Amino acid sequence: MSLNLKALVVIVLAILLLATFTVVAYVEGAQKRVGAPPPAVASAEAQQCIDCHTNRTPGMVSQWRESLHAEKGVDCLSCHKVAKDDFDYFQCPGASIPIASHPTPKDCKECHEKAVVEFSRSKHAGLNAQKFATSPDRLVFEPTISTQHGCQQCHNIGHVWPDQSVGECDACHAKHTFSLQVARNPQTCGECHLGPDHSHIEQWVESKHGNVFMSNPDNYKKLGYRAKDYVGKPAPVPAPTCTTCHMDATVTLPATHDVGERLAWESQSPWSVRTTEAWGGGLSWQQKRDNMENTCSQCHAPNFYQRYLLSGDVASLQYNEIFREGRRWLGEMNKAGLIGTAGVKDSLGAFQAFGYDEAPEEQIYHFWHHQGRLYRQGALMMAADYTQWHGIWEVQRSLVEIIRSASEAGLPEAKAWMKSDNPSKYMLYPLLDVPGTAWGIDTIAFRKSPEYTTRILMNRDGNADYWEKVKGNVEAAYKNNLLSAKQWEMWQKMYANRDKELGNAYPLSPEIQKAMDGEKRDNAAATNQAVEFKVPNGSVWSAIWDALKPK
Amino acid sequence: MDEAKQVGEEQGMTRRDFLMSAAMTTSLAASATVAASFGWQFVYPAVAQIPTVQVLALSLSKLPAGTSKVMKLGGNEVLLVNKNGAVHAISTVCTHLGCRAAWEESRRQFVCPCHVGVFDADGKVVAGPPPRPLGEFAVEVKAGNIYVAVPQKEGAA
Amino acid sequence: MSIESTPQTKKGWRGWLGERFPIDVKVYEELAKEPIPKHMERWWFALGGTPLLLFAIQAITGILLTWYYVPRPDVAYESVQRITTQIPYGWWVRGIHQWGSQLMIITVVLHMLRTFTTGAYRRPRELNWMIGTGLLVITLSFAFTGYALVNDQLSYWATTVGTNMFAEIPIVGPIILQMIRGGMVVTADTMTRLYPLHIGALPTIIVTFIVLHVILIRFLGVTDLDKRERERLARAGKSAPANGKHEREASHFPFFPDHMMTELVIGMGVLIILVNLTILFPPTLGPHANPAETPSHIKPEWYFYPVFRWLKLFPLQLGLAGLGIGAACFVLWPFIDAFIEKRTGNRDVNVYLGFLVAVGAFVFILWELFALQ
Repeated sequence: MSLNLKALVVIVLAILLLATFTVVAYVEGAQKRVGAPPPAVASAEAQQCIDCHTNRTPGMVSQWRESLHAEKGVDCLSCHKVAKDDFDYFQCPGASIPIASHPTPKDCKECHEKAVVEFSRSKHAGLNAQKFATSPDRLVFEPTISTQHGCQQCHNIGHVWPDQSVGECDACHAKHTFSLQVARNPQTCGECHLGPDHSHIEQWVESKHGNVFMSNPDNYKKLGYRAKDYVGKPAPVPAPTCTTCHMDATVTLPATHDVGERLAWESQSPWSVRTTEAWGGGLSWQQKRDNMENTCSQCHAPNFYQRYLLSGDVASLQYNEIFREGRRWLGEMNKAGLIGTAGVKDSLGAFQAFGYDEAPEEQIYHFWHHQGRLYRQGALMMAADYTQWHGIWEVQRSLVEIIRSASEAGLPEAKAWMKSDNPSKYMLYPLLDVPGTAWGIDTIAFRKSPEYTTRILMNRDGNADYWEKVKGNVEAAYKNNLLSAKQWEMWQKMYANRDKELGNAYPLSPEIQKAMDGEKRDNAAATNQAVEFKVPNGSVWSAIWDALKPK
Repeated sequence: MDEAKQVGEEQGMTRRDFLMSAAMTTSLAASATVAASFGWQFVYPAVAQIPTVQVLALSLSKLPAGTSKVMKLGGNEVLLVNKNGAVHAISTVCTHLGCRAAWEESRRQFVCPCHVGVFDADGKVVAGPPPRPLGEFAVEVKAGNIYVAVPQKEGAA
Repeated sequence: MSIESTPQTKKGWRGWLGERFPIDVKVYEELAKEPIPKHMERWWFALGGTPLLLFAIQAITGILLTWYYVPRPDVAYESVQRITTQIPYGWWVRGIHQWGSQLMIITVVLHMLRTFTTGAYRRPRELNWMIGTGLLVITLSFAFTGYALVNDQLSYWATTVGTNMFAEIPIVGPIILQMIRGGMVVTADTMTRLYPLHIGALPTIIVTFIVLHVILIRFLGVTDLDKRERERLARAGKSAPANGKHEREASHFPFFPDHMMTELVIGMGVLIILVNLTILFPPTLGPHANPAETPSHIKPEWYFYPVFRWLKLFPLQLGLAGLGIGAACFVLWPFIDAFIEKRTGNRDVNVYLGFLVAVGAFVFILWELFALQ
């Protein structure tokens, strides 16, 4: 190769390099600088809105600017466009174009079809149409404006619009950022799922799930992920929020906007009822439970979550028996003419048919609408305190209150019950039980031992045929499709193995003797320090008290 | 001898050779220039006009004619002076080399600690090296209140 | 006679400069125009200048990057992100630096392969071969420390795994490990240790080595392969060497401009490849380093694949010992080669071995590449 030829090659290469540099400059020009305001992707008409609203409603505009919508060129009129005879036709006084004042799911559906379709068939959407509008507590007991401003504000999530669409997407996807981080934040669900009748957010906070999630504040920042980036992959959130189990995708389960697709119980209902195919995409309750177990399986072993759910399911079924007993006493009182009838009926056994004006009627409302719900929901959401103190304790107290009212009103059976000294009188109803727990074998807590028999396990140990009776009840529940075949099989296995499951088959740890000795010492100390301790002087006001004493 | 050899070499270089190496040098220089311009754009800082914001300083009644007051407005140190009813807001950034001149109330002068530039209450140079009087911010009196337009970024002026 | 009283022998700026910098321009000219053997006209023999060109590019882009990069682990990732997404041409500068490092390794290896298979390291050039092996190690150290500075998940874990290998060196291993990491694990202090290595210590060392490398080439000249061949034939009694002055001129050509032009053509080709790679595969940034979570596909950069695969084949200690022995043989090869020749008379071992190692490394890279999928 001659020198000149080489020079020529260098020249050609240099020109090629220059050409490549123009591509570099082009790529640079096309770079999107993160952090800079979104490019002007709004249409000319929408720019009119933005120009004006930047001063009028600056929050609205800056929220939109932050949104993925802004980035993707979804501007004001993408959602607020309007036809002449739309119900929300609005001519903005400051602009040349009319807009829709209330974008509805119909508008969202244009891009988010799957989400809207799923949502529209969900229980969230059905909340309005379903018996909410006809439930007697709302109809009879409250002024309408209060219901409209109270209950209805949350139940708006199932808004039924004049354009036939159903739902209020921004109930969770807060406008105008429509931030996924906000939508997945448990606090979003907790806007409505809180309080005395469905304290789900409180139960999540109480649970290990909530604790683990909240222990790392960074987890909140991880909630803004886009589902489509994680199809078939584990979600980037290391501890579950509400949506993790109820809505988000797992590795093998698709995400859903139909919140009922993983729910096997109607536990807000007065009775514990297995969900029907009417909700949750036409799935049977067993299929829905399989879906939920799929989410559990992302972190837990089947042996744990299946036992946990069996235990929670049987606890939910137990509730029905207690509620049945409460209802029976109201019926007896009504028959005896001790309480009146409200004149309203409903489909589930006229549970509020007696009205709200007498103590037992109010009591039965609290029984199912507050306490019974917390008991059952807590039992399935890892919220032990809600199952216990806000749950079964209050449920039992309601039952006793109702019987006491009946006794005071003069019902003979109730009077006899009140007089009875038998400690078993609180278990008037059939019992269901599970011989074992999800947390492994405890050799002392459920042990058949003289020390503990009369204190905790009166039910289990005080009846020779306890487990036989329970088995019959559980089997009946299984045969009535309230437990799955898989669960019944698991129950039977635990039953066959109950001596071990309940810890009786194992020797006690010597440590427990120390604990028992310790407790004896504590009891002695309590007797000594408090119960039998007397100070020498009485009240400094003894003169007044003495004067009050009958002479 | 040396010179003869050099001439010989120059003669050995034909017009064609010369043109080729000139063209080659030019093309290489062009490539290098473009690459350098990319590098230049990479390192050149983003200089943006810092927007000003109108800050409420104080009510006019608190600054009678002939008085002055040093204030921090949006992170900027400012001397407010009421000169016969006209309010001025004087920046304390020394016009010499950019240190902050301190207002000394006792002598009613700004003194810059770096090279002892001295300014009077109007910002005019009294002594020292500063080439220009101190800068001023735009002042507006609305409804009896004094507003000063200062840069939004703290300490920018 | 002192130099001050020497009369100025030349006029003009050459005279002025010559007095103050008393090395005649002709010395440079002679150096530049030094005749080199004819075989150097082959492209294969003009690869040595390319790593130098790439090093210059790395130095320039590296300095540019330091203007924005912050070596503190809490902000390093963000600063790389800023360079990549915010600063004008940041993606390009970072991309050139990233691809430049990979091309530099490739070109160094190609240059060494040529040197090795043609036996250019033989007496008296053993030391220059060893300097060359040092340059390869330094280049790889550059790549390793530079990769660590990005501080994304892969970078963090590659650093963890890479530094962990030092721990297996007998006795001093743990000490070296902790010195590099500035602690027991990769922490904030690791970055503030690797950064000055990457931008201060390693550049100083590499420049020193490059200067030594070039000086030795100049002093020893490049190997005259034709001459060597003739000598070999002569020893075999096949043909007498003709080695007169005339012979020398016919079989040689000037380094400048002829050889330089060859290097320039190759250099421009490499530049075009480099810029196009940057456009087609711009630099990316994975998730932020997370010491609590090892990504499922943790792997080093491709040029470490042979070592990576090798270490997977054997227990760690054994694998590292093998690597150590291999590295020692590699550095000391000129002497081993001479020993083999002395014992067996075979002068072609290097050709077979070079071919074998190159193919082996290539197979290992492919193996690792497909093993990942």
